[in-house]
Amino acid sequence: MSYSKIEISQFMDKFDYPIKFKAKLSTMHSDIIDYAITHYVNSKPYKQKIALMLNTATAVVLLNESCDMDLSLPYDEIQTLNDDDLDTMLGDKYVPVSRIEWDVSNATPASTSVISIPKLVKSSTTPKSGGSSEKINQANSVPTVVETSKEDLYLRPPIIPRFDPTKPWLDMVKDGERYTIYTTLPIIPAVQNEISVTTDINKFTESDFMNLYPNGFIRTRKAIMYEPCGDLPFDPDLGVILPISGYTEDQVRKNIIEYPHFYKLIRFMNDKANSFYGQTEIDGELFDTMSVWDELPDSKFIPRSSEFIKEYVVRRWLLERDSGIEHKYPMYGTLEKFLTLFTTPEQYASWGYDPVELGKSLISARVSFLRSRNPIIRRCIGHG
Amino acid sequence: MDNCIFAPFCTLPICDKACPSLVETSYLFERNGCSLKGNVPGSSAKDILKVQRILHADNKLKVTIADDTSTLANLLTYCGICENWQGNRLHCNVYHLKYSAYLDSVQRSWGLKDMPESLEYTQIWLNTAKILIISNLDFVKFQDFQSQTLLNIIHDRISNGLTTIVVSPKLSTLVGSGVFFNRIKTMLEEAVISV
Repeated sequence: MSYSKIEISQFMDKFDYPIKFKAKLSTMHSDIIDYAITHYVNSKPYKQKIALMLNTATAVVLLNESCDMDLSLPYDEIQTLNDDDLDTMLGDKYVPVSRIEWDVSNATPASTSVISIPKLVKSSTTPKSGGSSEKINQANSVPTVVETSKEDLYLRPPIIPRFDPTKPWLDMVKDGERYTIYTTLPIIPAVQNEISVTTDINKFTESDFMNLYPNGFIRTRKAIMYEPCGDLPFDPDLGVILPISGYTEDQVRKNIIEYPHFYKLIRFMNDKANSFYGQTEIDGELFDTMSVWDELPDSKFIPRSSEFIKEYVVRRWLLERDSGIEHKYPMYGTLEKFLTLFTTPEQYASWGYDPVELGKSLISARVSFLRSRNPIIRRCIGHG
Repeated sequence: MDNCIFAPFCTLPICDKACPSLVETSYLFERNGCSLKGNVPGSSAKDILKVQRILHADNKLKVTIADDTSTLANLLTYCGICENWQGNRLHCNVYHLKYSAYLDSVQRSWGLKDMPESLEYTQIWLNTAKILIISNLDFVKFQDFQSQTLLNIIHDRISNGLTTIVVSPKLSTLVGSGVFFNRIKTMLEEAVISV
C-alpha cells in the first residue's frame, strides 16, 4: 500500500475534515505539533507517540472520544487511546507513523500547554447503515458508548440486508411462480430491525435478549406527543396520555409502554386495504373516523389533529381488544405487545417488567407481525 | 419471488413482479451482473462496515487496495445498490465496470461499422452513474490507450461531481509503461484510502 508522506509541520492542512470540526481539530493538532517540534527526539518510540497523539486528537474531536492528554508531561507519560482501536475507528483519517515525515530538528524542552477534553459518556458515530450500531470499548481509557440509533428500532428492513443464500427458509412454487425466502443474517440479531420472518426465538440465550435493548430512551411517538398539550395528562418520558373513556390514565400509560408506535396499520374491507385510522369501530359498526369524531365524548379534550386522532383510534381499539372485547372488523396482521423496546432494561424494570421476558416478547411480537403480513408467507402458507 | 433481498422483511400486501422495490433493485443487480445466490449477501457485518466506510468517505475518487479485488468490488456494488436503489427510476446509478472487459469491447468495436448498443450503454452508465466501481485493473497491460481511457473516465467523473471507487491490487503490481501510466499510478496512489 502506498501513501504520500506528510510533513509534520504541514499536518493540519493535509486532510479534508468536516467543516464544523476543522477549527477545533486544527488547534489541537497545532498544539501537539508544537510539542513535537519543541521536544523532538529522533527515536522510534517518540515518533510513534506523537503519531498516537495526533490520531487521538482526531478521534476526540470527530468521534467524541475522551482522553486527557497533558502536554506538560514527558512524551512517554502522556495518555493516548489504543493504536489498533484508533486505526479501526478513524479509517481513512488514521495516520500511521510511517506516513509522517519529520521535518524538524532537536529543540529545547518545556511546553506546558494542556489539552484536556471533557469526559463524555455518549457519542454518536454510527455510519449510515442498515441499522447496526457499534459499541467500542477502550482497553486503556474511559469506555465510550455509541447511542443506539433510532433506525435500529424500525420495522423496515436494514438498509443492507444480509442473508444466507445456501439456506432457504421457504422455497415453494405456487401457481407457476417460485417464491423463496432465505435465512437472514445474523442468525441471532443484535438489533431489533434485523429480526425477520426467519428469526428463531429458540436459538436465543438470555444475554441475546438483553442485547436487543437500546442503551438509552428513544422517542417512538410523533414529536407532538412529547409536548404538553393543554390540560391533558402528561408523562415526562412517555408524553401525552390520551383520555380514553372507560380506561384509566394508568391503563393508557401501560398501553403506551406496550405499544410505543404504530407502523402501517391497515384493515382489509372488500379486498381493499384501508388505513386503520381512517375508520373507527363502535358497537360492531364501522364509521369513518372524521365523520363521527365530534360525537365521541373524548374528542372534547383531544386536539383535532391527525397525530392525536390516529393515536386515539388505535389505542382505544387495542385497549378494547386487550380487555376482551371482540371486534367485528379486525386489523390486518397481528399486533402484539412489546413489538418495539424503546428504552433500557433498567427503566422497564422500574415500570415493573421483567427485561428478559420482554426480550422474548419482542422477538415473538416482531416475528408474528412480519409473518402475518409477509405476502410470500401469506400466499404460500396462508396466515389467519 | 426468488430474487428479492427484502423478502424476509416485507409487509407489502402483494408480492409480484410489479413491486417497485423488486423492480428497482433487480434492475440494478441485473445491470451489474450481481447474483444473489453468491457469497455477497452472506458477507460478515465487519466486511460490510468496511465497505460502508469506503462508500461514505468524502473523496470523489477513492482507491482501495485489496488482495481479492473481485470479492471486494462485488460487495461494494451490492452495498452501493442497497444504499442507492430507492428512486432510481430505472437509471443505472450504481455501476460496476470491469475495466479489462470494457477495454476488450472498445477495441473490438474498432473493427465494426457501428458501435454495438451494449457498448454505448456501458459508456452512458460509466459516465453518469452516481457511484462507479472499477475493478479488474490487474488484467490490464497499461499502455497509452489503456491509461488515457482510465484517466479520461476519472477526470470526467470528478468534474461532474460523481463518485468513483477503484478496487485495485497493490499499485506496485500493476503492469504498464509510459508517461500516462505513471500519471494514472500517481493519481491512484494519492487517492488510496485505508479502512
